[in-house]
Amino acid sequence: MSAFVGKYAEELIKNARYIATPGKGILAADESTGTIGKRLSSINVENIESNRQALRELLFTSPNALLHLSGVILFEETLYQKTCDGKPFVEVLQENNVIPGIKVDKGTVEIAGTNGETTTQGFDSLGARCQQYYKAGARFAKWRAVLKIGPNEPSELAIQQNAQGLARYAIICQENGLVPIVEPEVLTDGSHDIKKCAAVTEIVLAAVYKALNDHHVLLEGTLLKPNMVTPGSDSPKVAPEVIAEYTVTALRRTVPAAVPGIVFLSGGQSEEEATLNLNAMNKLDVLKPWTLSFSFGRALQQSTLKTWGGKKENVSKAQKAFLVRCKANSDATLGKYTGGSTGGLASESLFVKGYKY
Amino acid sequence: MSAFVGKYAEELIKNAKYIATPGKGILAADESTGTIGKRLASINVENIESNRQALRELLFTSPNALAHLSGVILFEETLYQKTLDGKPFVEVLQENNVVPGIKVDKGTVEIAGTNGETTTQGFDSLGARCQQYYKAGARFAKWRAVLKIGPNEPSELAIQQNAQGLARYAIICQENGLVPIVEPEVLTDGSHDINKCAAVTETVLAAVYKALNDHHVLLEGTLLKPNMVTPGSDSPKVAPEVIAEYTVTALHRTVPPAVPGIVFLSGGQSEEEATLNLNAMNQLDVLKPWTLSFSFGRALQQSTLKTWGGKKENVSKAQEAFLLRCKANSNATLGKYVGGSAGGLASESLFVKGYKY
Repeated sequence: MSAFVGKYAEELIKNARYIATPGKGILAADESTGTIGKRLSSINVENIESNRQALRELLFTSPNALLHLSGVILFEETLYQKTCDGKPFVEVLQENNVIPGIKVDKGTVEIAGTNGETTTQGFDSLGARCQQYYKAGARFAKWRAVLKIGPNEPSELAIQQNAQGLARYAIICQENGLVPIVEPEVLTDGSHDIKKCAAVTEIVLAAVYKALNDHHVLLEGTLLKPNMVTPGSDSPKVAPEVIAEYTVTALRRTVPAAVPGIVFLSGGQSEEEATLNLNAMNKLDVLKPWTLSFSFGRALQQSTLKTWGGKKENVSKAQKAFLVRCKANSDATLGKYTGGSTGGLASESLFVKGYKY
Repeated sequence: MSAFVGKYAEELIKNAKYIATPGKGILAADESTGTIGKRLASINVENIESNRQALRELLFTSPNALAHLSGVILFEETLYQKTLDGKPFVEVLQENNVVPGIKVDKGTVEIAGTNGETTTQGFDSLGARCQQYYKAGARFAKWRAVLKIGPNEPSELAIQQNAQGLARYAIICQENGLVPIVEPEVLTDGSHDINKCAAVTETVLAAVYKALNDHHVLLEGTLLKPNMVTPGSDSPKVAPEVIAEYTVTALHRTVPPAVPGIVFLSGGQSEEEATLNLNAMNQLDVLKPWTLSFSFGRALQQSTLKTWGGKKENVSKAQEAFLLRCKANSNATLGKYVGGSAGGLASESLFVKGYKY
């Protein structure tokens, strides 16, 4: 095969397939210390380790919520944290059949000579780090590449840099037993229409899969985390069914059937939007050889965060809010979401211009 | 979309989907005058137009055979030929719901500086030619690109030349209403094992689909005509189930679900081998987003040719032999072939080293 079949091949295939279980999805709880700080400050909570620990414990111990998840992406700090009772978070997840994952990139840097386009760093000692994460219980990883739409963007240079970066990261993960989630995010920022987003997404995904092939990545042991295809943030919104059609068409044109699952990022969509769009995709009557699920950060945690407000007495209510979103998205992966689990909070747009993680 | 959606888009999609109808396949009867000369010579028949016409009339008027075909690829001369009764072959096909297709390439030429690797010519006035063929009733086209396996082959240059050639041919076809069959044949010649063939096939297909994306080809309006993944011609044979597994895995890893159908070339395989392999693929219990069918030349006509021997009195028997292979392959596309329609003729290897069309 042109794919590298190393000692972890069977395990990678098994884990990727499990994460792609219909009815389940991923909680992206891998906000870096800086990013989680912004979330905490939005609810007037101090960005100290105990508060970061408290938030994640709230999420991971939400009664029944973990049933709807197949994986949780963690930031390095969280991988080694415990509950207040002293149980490692990783064990909490494992006991509930949730696979721990780890964010391994180290953020983006600008590419000189471009108009603010970026590439992603994090390659130094990546293999060794992956080995350590594997020892700590992680079985998948995530690396976010970012492209933007503009008059001259994304440039061929940015596309190639990010596609090559994703492919290199992916094969290093596989060498070390971690299923790589491949995330080529095309930002929503801009006034372009949905067709433009579709065209760019298709070009980017084609480049990504060519690069993965070049680097001998075993597709059966990967997952894809793409943007949904939507109009730009400054353009009029369209119905979920339209987003579903453009998105699934783009994926059908670029993502080989060997990939077991596609787990969408939510970008700046509100909790409810993200769920409705995912639901519409799963209702679409067209053959999809990969499962369509979620890997949501903000779109799973927003109401939960606001309900918690950093207060112990709100934990139970916040956990209920979290369960509501988990269940809603689980239903959406089966095309069975009937809406209405939205309070005002769930409909709040989470779009932030030029959002930096 | 990144795909070019011109005035023929809906028609292309409809025709591609029809050709990919389960239970049907393509007869490749597009042998050039030189090539058909070799076939005729093998049965001691003179290579004159009336004999070429007689052979094709035999095939196209075989009772019930056309029921198993969705398309026939023709050489230019044949596109304009008629039955002895004066009915254009194109009409005979159309009346039987068989879509006429046309070979549009002009053979291969060697690439300087390589070890006998080739690229395909035929671009001059290709658009205008396609328009003419469309007027004459053709609705799909075929262009054969050839790669070989060797110590340093296929080279990156050969892969790129052929992938780019296929993509350019494909978009020109689509601009002019013809569904392009994309044929990147990796020759069987050699002593390599099936793993090597798989690796090369995957690398080639990945390059082809990247090129198709670069050239804005509408995948839903194309078909793929690949080689099956097999050991080299000088290597020990393997079971159909093994060929099926390696082939479908390779396709899974490279061919986007938007492609409606895959129609295999038979290469040097005997009629029976080709049918058994196709059958095994369709029996494979794995999700396939495209149909798997045939576009056979030699593997559909060999016994027929030998039975005919150029003699009018043998026509009826030859037509029965042809129907037999059509039905066998039709069953194979449904995974329902039970074998045994092999006479000695059907098991004859059709492998010719360094085969040139």
